[in-house]
Amino acid sequence: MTVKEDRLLPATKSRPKSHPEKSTLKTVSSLQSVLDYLLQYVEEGVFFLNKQLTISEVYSHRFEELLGREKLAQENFLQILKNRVPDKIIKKTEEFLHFMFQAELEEEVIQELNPLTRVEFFFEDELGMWSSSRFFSFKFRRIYDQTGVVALMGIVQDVSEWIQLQKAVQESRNSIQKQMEWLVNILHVEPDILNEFFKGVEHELGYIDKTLKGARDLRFSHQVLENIYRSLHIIKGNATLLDLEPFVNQANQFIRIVQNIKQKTDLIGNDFVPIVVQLSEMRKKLEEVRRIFKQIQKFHRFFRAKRSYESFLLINSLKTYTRELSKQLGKNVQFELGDFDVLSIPYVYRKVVRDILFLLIRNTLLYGVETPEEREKLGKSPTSHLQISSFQDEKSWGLILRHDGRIGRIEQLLKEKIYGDGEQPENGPDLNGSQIAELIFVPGNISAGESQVMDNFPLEIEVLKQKLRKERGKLKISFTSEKFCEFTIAFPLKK
Amino acid sequence: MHEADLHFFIDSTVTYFEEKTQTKAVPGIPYLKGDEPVMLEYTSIIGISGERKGVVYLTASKNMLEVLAETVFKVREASIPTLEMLISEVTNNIALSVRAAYGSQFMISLPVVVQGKARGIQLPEEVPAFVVPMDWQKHRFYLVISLD
Repeated sequence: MTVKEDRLLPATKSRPKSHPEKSTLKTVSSLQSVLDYLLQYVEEGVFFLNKQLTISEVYSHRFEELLGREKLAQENFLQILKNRVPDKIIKKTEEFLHFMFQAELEEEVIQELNPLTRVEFFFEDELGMWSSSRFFSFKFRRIYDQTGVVALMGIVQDVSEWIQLQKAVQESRNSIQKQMEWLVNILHVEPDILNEFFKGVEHELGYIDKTLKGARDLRFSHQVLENIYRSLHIIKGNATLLDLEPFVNQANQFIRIVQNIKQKTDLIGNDFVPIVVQLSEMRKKLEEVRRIFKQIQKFHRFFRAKRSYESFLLINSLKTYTRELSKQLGKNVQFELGDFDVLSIPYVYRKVVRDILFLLIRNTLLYGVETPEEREKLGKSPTSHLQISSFQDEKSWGLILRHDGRIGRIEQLLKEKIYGDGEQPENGPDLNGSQIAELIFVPGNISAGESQVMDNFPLEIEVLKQKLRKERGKLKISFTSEKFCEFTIAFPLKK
Repeated sequence: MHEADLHFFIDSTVTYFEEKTQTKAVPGIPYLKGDEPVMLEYTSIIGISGERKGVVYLTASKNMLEVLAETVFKVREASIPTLEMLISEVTNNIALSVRAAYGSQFMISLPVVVQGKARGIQLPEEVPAFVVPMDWQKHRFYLVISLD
């Protein structure tokens, strides 16, 4: 292609005075070299389109590099876009380019219609799958001659780095926003307890996962739902105790979905779609908060709430737990604090005391406390009383949990079985959990509400004993004939 | 990924089997894919790009595809190319439904068929993958969807 014939190149205006032919040739040859040089080394992809949207012979080397293709001359520009950008964008590009060739339309105005200002360009691998993408920015300018718009000059740049930077900035902003939201929700919880909570959630989500994976037969789908429901309640319960509102809300949402599905009689696979989607959302949330927690863990201790607030939180959690479990079991229980000095709990025992209190309350509500109807038959007030208090001397710190529940039955049975007529040993009963469960589990006498929560009782007693053993704590159970049952737990004060 | 997306892919697959074989494919209980590969003897993969990115694949046993070939193509003891073409057709139909439903904002690749259970398929890392077991005439196959 020469300068004289090629209308795409600007005409040379200046002519040298001496040896005009030689000078013109020399100028043309210089211009050609300059053009070749430019097209070889320019950093943008420069190309030209005719009215048929065909790429001209003249284009920059960078154009080939960016598109990942050679020999682009005479190719249709829209064909090149095919399978690299969505059809919607190709269609808009076609319209835009045709407008660009209409000289009566103002170029500046039409530029706003350019759909390729920023476009994600996808590249296929040898299998035809999209394996990578880059962000390109295409700009177009009209080239005029006497007849009108004769061609368009296109310039394409790779703006991937800039886009990625923008994305990174936006993601960082969103991440900080989320971190702030989570911080507000988790800072009040001690890191160890929070870690345990995360492990608990992970365990339950893993269980739900396993349940769904293992469900081969739709005939047992209601059982699958029950298992999922139970796990969700555990998550919700633990989140409630720690006042982790986002998790409570998510668990509630999930529980509602499961409840709705449970209403159906004939379940099909499709019915479980909302469950698996929710599961994935919950996992995502857990991962998010764990990531944030890891980042702030180092600083968490410095920003922890004061001990007085932590103490308030513990009492509040115990009250909430008592109230919720009582409601679930259909019992009326009044929680009383008594002389319980939360601030006196030795720092090293805070976690185990918390765990033990929850275990004991659970045990009491399940097995110690009667329903209002049962209590009225026994001539008692329909409301049971549950009181916790603490004590401390030179050698030990302890707590007492006392209730006026099912005396003469469970604890009496327990006492007789364990101690007979003799004194109870100082270290408390030496039964394993299943033996205790045997004593107090009376088939047929357990209400529907109780049966849902009592499955883990033997395990709980074992857990309690293990926790006490670890801290060298002691358990004592006291009875009187009619009035109360008391659990006393004491921990040695370390020197 | 939204529930509607999952329902859509499942329904497209169910519709294909119902229309072509007059026997329903019954979806089982879906679950989240872990690290374990979910692949039977033949797998057909379609890539999705554009405003949303992801991978959808269908994996089935040779036995099932042979029975399907007999039903759809009236061919007994179908050859390997026929089986590959068949599984490709199933996923292509799903792809066409996706295009029809989601419009031209998506780019859908042509199906790529792989044989063997040797390796799992590389799925987008940050995007959860959902596995939908499906039963057709006592044969189990899987639809795996990973879409952001």
